[in-house]
Amino acid sequence: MQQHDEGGEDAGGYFGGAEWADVTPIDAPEGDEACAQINYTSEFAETMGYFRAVLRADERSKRALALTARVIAGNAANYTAWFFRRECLKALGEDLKKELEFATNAALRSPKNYQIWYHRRAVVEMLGDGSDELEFTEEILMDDSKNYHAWSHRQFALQRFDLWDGEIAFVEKLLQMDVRNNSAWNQRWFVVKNTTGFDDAEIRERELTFAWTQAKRAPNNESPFNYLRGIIRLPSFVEVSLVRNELDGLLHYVKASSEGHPNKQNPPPLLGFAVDFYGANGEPGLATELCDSLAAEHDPIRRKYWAYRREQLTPNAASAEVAPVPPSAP
Amino acid sequence: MESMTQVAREGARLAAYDDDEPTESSMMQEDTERECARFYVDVASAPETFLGGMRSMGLLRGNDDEMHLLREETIDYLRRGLTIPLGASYTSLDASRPWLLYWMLQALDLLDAFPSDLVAGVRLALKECCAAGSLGFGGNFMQVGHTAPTYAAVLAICILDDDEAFQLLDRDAIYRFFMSLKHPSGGFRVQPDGEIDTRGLYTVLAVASILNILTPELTEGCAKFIADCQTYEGGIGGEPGNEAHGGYAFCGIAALAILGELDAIDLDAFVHWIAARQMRYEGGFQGRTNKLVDACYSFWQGATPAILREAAVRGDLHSSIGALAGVEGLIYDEERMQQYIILCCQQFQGGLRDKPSKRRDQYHTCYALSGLSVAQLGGSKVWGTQTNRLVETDPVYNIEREKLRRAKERFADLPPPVLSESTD
Repeated sequence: MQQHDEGGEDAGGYFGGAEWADVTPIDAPEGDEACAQINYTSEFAETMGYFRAVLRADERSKRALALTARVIAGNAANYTAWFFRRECLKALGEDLKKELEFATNAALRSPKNYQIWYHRRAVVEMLGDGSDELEFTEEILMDDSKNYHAWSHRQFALQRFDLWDGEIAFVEKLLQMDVRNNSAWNQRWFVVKNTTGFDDAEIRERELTFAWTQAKRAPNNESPFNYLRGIIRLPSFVEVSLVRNELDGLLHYVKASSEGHPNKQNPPPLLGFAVDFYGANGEPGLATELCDSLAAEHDPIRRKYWAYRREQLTPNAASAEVAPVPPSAP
Repeated sequence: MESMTQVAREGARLAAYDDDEPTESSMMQEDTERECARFYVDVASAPETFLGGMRSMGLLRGNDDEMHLLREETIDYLRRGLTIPLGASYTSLDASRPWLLYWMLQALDLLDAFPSDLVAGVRLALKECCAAGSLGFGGNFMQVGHTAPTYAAVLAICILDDDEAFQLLDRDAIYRFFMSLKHPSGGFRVQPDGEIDTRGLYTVLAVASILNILTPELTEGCAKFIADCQTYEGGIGGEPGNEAHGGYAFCGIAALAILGELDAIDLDAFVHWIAARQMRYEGGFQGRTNKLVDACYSFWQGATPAILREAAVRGDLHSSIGALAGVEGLIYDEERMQQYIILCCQQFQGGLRDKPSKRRDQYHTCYALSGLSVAQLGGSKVWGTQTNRLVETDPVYNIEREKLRRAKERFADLPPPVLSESTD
């Protein structure tokens, strides 16, 4: 793992030649009684010694820039090295397109690292050009479709450079691959919210229909129900009869399905959505009944939550009373 | 408490169902349930080979059918991490040394095994991590200040509860550092040229509230920043628009608790989201919807119901959510959560892990035990043998309650921080 992207290595080692002869490395305290020490390889320890020396001298030079790459190859989470690397890039007026390539290679090696992604964002900001970002994040997401940093970076690029056009299609492609990819669902919400918004009835209807279609594919998948719940919580939500029809239809459909897995006829995400919808739309009786069956039978791990929801839905109950907790599931 | 004989999961009944529409997510979920199923076996009807295995691991002892936390083994694992240099594979944590120190100290403290013989060694290590100008702490020797290692270092100092260690903290300098990181969005950068997220905000507020430097200038816009990070699912993300995530949800809720502004977000939506994160089969928590269980979320997710419960009991929450005060214990199943930690996440050599297919590390050891401490509710809900009881942690800061009280007391009567560098 000790490869570096810049600078060559000769027989005397990386620091053996004339280039570094004027620098005295600053070693970390070692062999003292300090706790939590690490047995570094001698190569890493030497690199860090020289890095500290250029850091202390605040030397923003070509060789310092190359040295940061060496430090980062040893530990990509060294935020000080990334920070100093950016200082060098700025001071030297380096080609930032080339730097983006460096960031790409680093991210492909360790895709779950805060520093790499922040660096990429900072470089893209300096460049003022986000044209590579959608393609790059797509490459990462094709390998790890829920990579938090990649999604976050993608959101930054979409917003900063106004790249929204193909994003709903991208989300749908990912949901076609895995309808349970909650990051893709979140992205859908993000796109709608930041482009058309949800205030337009046509948009809400389109989104409700999309989510119901996906919910029917797999009624035990929580993601579309969370999306639906988000919409019915909006102040602008008025499509009560559309949701009621879809909900009643799907409840009827799953109940009528043949026996099999116990969640087949009673998918907890569907029933849980029904609690919130009925509770907020004039049918608290239906909602509390569902709370009882979720607590007792279909979602016993959340029995305290469903008892609490039941309590919330029964405003007439003496509020001072302690919420009843049903016994453990049979 | 539920006896061991009831632990066995009624497999098919509780496992997630893929609706005959398998995808990558559902297949990974099935694999994970299968990993855990090996540990969720009826002791009463278990084959002797299984019981023998549990006994040789130390989970079962003598004729007792209660499960044990591997205390001695874990204490040994943690102490070795503090005293014997870690292997070169830890180089990836070279810039996270205050974190390593905090994880190990906190886990030892929870196990009632505070390493009083190592106070000087921890103090020296923290001193090596002080950033130039005392502007917070860096990840290691001569690294620039960053809010995350600063948070870890301050918590480690609170755990040490040692006068000399507290002298490493320069309140005014830390205040200047934090104010220099303040961003117009209400959030904070994690370092002078660094990302702005919920984590940065929480780490700043946690430290500032301990040091009694939580000024109106520092907290301005913080609650709004967190509210902007609440998603349509009810949870909280790292930046506005990002997916709801356990680590950020903790940071958001804990930060709001510090600010006394829990009502700044939609708490009904949050409670729904957090309750839904407990896995129906495994019993532990996932970080995000449709992701896999991971022991570290036992704390990140499991602490927020405790924070909300304490606020509800104090009467700090509005009426609808105030009903949380009437729930018996936390709004999740504390027993199932403890079973996940004790049965699935202990490595027999000591230390704890994310899930059975992963290896132990200090991070998971700290947060699995911290989550366990929260779920035990001050000792009233200990699952397994009663000696599994841990010291009670504070769910907002994640250090022992008494240590937090003592640390805050040190700074309680000090004057407001001075921003200008030219002193009086």
